[in-house]
Amino acid sequence: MSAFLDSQGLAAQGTRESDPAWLSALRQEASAAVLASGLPTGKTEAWKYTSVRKLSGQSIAAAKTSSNDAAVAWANEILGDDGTAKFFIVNGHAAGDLASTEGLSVSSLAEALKSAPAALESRLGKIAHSEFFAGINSALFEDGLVVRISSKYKGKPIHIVHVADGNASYPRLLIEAEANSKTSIVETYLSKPGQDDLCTAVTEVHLADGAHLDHLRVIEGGEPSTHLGTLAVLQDRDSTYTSRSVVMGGKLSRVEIDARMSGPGATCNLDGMYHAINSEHVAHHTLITHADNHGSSTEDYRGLIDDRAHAVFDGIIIVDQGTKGTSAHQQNHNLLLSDSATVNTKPHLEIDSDDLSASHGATVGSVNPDHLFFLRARGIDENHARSILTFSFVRSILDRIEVEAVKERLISRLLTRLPYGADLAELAK
Amino acid sequence: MLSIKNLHATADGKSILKGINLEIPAGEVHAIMGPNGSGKSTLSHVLAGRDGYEITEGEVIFDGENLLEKKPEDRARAGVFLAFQYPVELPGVSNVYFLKAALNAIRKARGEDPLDAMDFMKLAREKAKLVELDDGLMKRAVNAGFSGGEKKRNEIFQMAMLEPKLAILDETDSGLDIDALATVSKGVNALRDKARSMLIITHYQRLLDYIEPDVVHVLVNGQIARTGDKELAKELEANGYAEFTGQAVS
Repeated sequence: MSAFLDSQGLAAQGTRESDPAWLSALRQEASAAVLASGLPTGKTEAWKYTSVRKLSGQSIAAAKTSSNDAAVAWANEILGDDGTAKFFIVNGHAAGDLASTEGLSVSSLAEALKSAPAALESRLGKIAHSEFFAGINSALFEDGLVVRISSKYKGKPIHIVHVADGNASYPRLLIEAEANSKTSIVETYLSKPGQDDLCTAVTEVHLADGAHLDHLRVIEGGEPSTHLGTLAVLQDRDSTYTSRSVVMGGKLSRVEIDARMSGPGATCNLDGMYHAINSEHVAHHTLITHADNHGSSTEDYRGLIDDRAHAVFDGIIIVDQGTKGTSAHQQNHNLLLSDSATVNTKPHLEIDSDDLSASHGATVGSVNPDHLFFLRARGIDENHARSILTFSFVRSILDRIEVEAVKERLISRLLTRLPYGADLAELAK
Repeated sequence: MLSIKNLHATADGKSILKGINLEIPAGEVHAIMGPNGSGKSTLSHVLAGRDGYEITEGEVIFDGENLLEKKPEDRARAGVFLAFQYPVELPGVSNVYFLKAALNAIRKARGEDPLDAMDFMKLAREKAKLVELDDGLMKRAVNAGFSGGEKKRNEIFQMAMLEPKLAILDETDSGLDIDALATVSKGVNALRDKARSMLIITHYQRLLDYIEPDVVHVLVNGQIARTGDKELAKELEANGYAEFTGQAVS
């Protein structure tokens, strides 16, 4: 495998003349690690159920964009006017307008590395690890966005729209939620239909003391597309971070979340909803680390798996030694809609403290026959009854999405993917 | 209206109904009483079409048609209503959506136009008064977080909305306090009609103080052991089922 990575010139690409020295070092370290490990195989625990073998036939050379404007226009058409301030990343490069308004700055990562690299040194590549695909991103990213929000920002929710319009892209996003800021950020990953693209994304988020961030990430790949994303979060004292992951579509979508509560009194909530059809593969791997006292975390992931699709949930909560007053609760529920669908779920707590309240649980099952009978006994036909129960299984996750127009668009997208979903328009209101 | 002839049913290979014969003419209210395990709930499930039972002998004719070959939804559309002993909770499904879908499916089967949102709400508010169900509960998810009494009132509310020809009340009194029992019974009595038959399944006589049956049947070991008028229920209350089972069962 490392021969494959080497043949793609990973080592050579891992150094760039314009990089500040600290970034060169970071890139070299990342490429060396990735070249040494190769691509993950089934022997790697975290990749046991997700095969990336087929990727070795694919070019990992970064795609060049034919037209940013066309890609942005295409994405705008899909997303519509959803009441957010949109910023675009096309094939990993900042595209379209950026912002510098009261309390908010959105700048190109490549520009920021040229103009003020010192401001990035303490965070970029320091929050996310550099294993496997996150490492490939660290070695190869060319651009992306840096988003800084202060407590003065009172504007619209921020929407970062990633468009994949070529064979491979390495979008990199750094979000700095400054002290006491309160914001909603949506990240949407779109890929042009029919494109056999590979998006290797890394988003790093830092929440300073008392910051509140509601962060929705939507992976909406085209049929043959692959998304291998890493989200790394570092939380300071009394900060509240909420991640909502919505995955609908894409041949292979893997979301890795690593959230570390490094200050006391932090709250971390991870929600997720996935719907996998055909032979789609959706995997969520979450790691929450309670590194300080009085941290509170919840995880609630719910999935619908149809046809021959495969879903994976692998959630770990680590409670560091001697931490006090921890609350950690983790849940994953899966509804199988076909006999050929597969789920692997592994909720997991590693606790080195005795002052805490913690729980975890997972279920995998089909539509509840008692519920189905109740609806049918009231005159509702079986297909309609099944679709009602399927949608209601995941709607609690979608209902919590903060940006109303985004929530509505995602619900209607889910309904178009569900059998008999058209009958549910009124239920979804 | 309903004619059950020599009905035998098994569940998991175990014989539960062992030759039930029962005729309920239009407009009559029949009560079936019996000790635990006598087959009361099985009978209600078999009539409504729940999976998990095998009919080994006999037939059920409802309104001139063979009920047992119909799917549960088609039985409901033909006018059969089962008030559940344990109503299910459906988080994420509002009462209003659920009931409108049900009512419009039944109206369609009757050849009637679907009700629009406004007409539906008007009807729902009117019927909700029968069982003192407030608007707030109507907008909430089906039975989610409802008290036991609210769930049973919701069942009778659904019955009022769907206007069945045959209502089967499966231990509707179980778990109700005396006030809730009175409210639920008042709703049921308001729905008594010469075109509507009712089959009230209960373990206790007290429900029959509120809803007076025309006929009382005693179900024991999968068969109707005796049929009488409402005095029979009082006799059972006083003496228990021992006479029928050969052992002391209350």
